[in-house]
Amino acid sequence: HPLGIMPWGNYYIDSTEKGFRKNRRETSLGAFAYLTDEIILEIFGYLNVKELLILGFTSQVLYCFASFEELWKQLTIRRFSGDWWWYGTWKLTYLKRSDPKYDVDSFIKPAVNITHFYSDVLFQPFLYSSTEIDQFLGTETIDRRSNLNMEEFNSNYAAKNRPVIITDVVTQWPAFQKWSMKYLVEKYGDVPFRAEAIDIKLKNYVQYSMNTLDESPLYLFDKKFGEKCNGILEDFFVPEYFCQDFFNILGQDRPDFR
Amino acid sequence: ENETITLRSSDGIEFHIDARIANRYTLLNNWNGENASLPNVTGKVLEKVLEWCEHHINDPPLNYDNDDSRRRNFEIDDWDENFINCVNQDMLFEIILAANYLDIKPLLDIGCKTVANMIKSKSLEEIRSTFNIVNDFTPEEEEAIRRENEWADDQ
Repeated sequence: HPLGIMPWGNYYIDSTEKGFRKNRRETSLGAFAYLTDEIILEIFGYLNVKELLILGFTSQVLYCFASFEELWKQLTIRRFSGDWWWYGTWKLTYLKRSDPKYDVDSFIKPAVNITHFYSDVLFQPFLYSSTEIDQFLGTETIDRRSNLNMEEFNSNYAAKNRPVIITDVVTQWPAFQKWSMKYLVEKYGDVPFRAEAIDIKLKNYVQYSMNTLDESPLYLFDKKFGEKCNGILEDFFVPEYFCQDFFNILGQDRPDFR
Repeated sequence: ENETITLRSSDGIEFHIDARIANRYTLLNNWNGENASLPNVTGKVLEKVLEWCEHHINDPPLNYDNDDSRRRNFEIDDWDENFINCVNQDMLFEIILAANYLDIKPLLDIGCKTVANMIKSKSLEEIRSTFNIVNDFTPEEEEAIRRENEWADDQ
């Protein structure tokens, strides 16, 4: 963890070592040590930026709490919605956004390096963002098919409710050659898209998504992308396996479909 | 007459409360009975928590969704403010823990907001002394944070 926070499991190992100093939580948190980590964060959620910065200046452990990314994410979104440029953490992103003169580069190195402080709540987001996903993926057992004719698709897969991966559809789309992050940002970079509760320009979003360490990053999902991006609907087509479109009957009342 | 249920604190003190209270805060029902007692809440604290619950017995039903902003912007009314200001800091923290443990969310929110208000408008040293916080930074760390905090607040 950049600030040196460790999960509780380490406490049980560390505390068996000779000369183990007491867990820092009690002294460094003062009266707050009486509360749970979750409640402390709940309380700090009521503070504004100035108050949070002062609080982070009181002690090492409180610096760790006051730097908790989720707090800064809420502050950023509440004040700037999607209008910000990503600077590696929500805290730096907020401070730079509200003060263009803020010297972000000199704060890459964390201000504090704490030892003997254990918190699952503060450690968890870091754990999730730094864990490789491969170990959780099983072996793929789904058929991969190309040149699959309609008859076989219907009888072998659709009728039997068996999944299949069709490998030669996407490769025929213009999108397969054209779409790269670079291409999309050049062409649609200034188009605002919906990402959860905010609207954010594609170029800002891409820069964020490529560099974020968020445990669950803002998710861009915009049902109006076809209307917003000139020409993008010509870059792909619905494969013949799925060309029956029963929702057509509903006309204007059909549910979102792209 | 209204039905009552019996709660016992961790130190064995019995409280007979209106069953409607327990129905509002479902977790309380778990401890109804002669022999069951709440493991984490002492009589002193439980008395305060129940005093709050009794006052709010006729509040509109709780509708807690995850609307963060509505919770953040709520106002503490006069009765609650008086209630919470009459307890010392230790008791305030005890009430917060009990409300959290018993899942009485409105009381938890009032408690958390009250603590937040104690932090607001205080200087660094005032916060340290109010909450007994020991400054454990190295001089280098203090300098680094000071520079980090050099930021123009244009709010």
